[in-house]
Amino acid sequence: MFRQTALIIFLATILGAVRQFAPNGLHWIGKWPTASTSAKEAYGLMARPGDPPFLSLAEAIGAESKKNGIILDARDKNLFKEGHIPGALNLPFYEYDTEASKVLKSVDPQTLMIVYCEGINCELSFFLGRQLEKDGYKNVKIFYGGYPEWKNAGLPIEKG
Amino acid sequence: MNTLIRTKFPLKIIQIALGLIFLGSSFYKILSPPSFAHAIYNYQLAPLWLINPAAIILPWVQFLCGFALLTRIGEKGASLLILLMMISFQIALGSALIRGLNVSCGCFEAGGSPATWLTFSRDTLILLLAAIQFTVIARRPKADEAI
Repeated sequence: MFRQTALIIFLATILGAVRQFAPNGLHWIGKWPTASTSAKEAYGLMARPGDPPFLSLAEAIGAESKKNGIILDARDKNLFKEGHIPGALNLPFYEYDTEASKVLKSVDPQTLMIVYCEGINCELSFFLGRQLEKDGYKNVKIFYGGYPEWKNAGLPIEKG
Repeated sequence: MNTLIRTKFPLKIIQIALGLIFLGSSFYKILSPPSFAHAIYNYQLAPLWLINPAAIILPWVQFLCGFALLTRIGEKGASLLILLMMISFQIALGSALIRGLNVSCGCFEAGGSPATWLTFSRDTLILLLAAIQFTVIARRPKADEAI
């Protein structure tokens, strides 16, 4: 049994190594964001070509204060209720099919859409941003520092 | 359990089901290792140096295990690996849920479904099937094996 186990792992390693020569491969050694990585650097490491552009905290603050565009929180409803950026609308990525038509009702495709979630360990802002672009929204940006960066900066939050 | 060993029919169903589940779950990971690596990263459990090797090797382990169960070639080794993988997945999933992480499951497709207690329950059932499969197959005499 253990010989078979070892053989499967060996074969998987060979196949994995060969797979890396095909498109969309992955290097054996990767660079991943750590707690000390800035949001912008983390975005650079995690974004794929063609993803919506990065938005900094300062730009997010500016957009929020000027009420420029809409802010979309991609997290689930419970996390949104616990706290979110003032004025943000909750569009949980995993409820996109049912919620998008309600949340984005009469939103112009050119409107600035700032998407965020739970910071650099959260992929939902990418998922939501990509989906919005796919659905024809032309001005989507990802505030990758997300709710943690906003809260840690001592900025006001809303609950409920 | 002895009855299970004697009654081969339910075991065959379990074996085919597990084989198909593991084959199915390997496809998106093989097609897009970066997406799977991202999903592993989001769980915030694996050391960073391990993420890429795991995202490269694990999908193929899943694929080969699924293939082994369906063809009965190397099924004992595959059963052990499937059980170990399911235990690891459940630890990762349970820990993410307890920590309140808003992550995608990383089970069948990138961003396809969130990690929820429902996912955890479904995977617990798969873990149970994997445990039955392993226990029965590990006791099977060598003469009864395909290879």
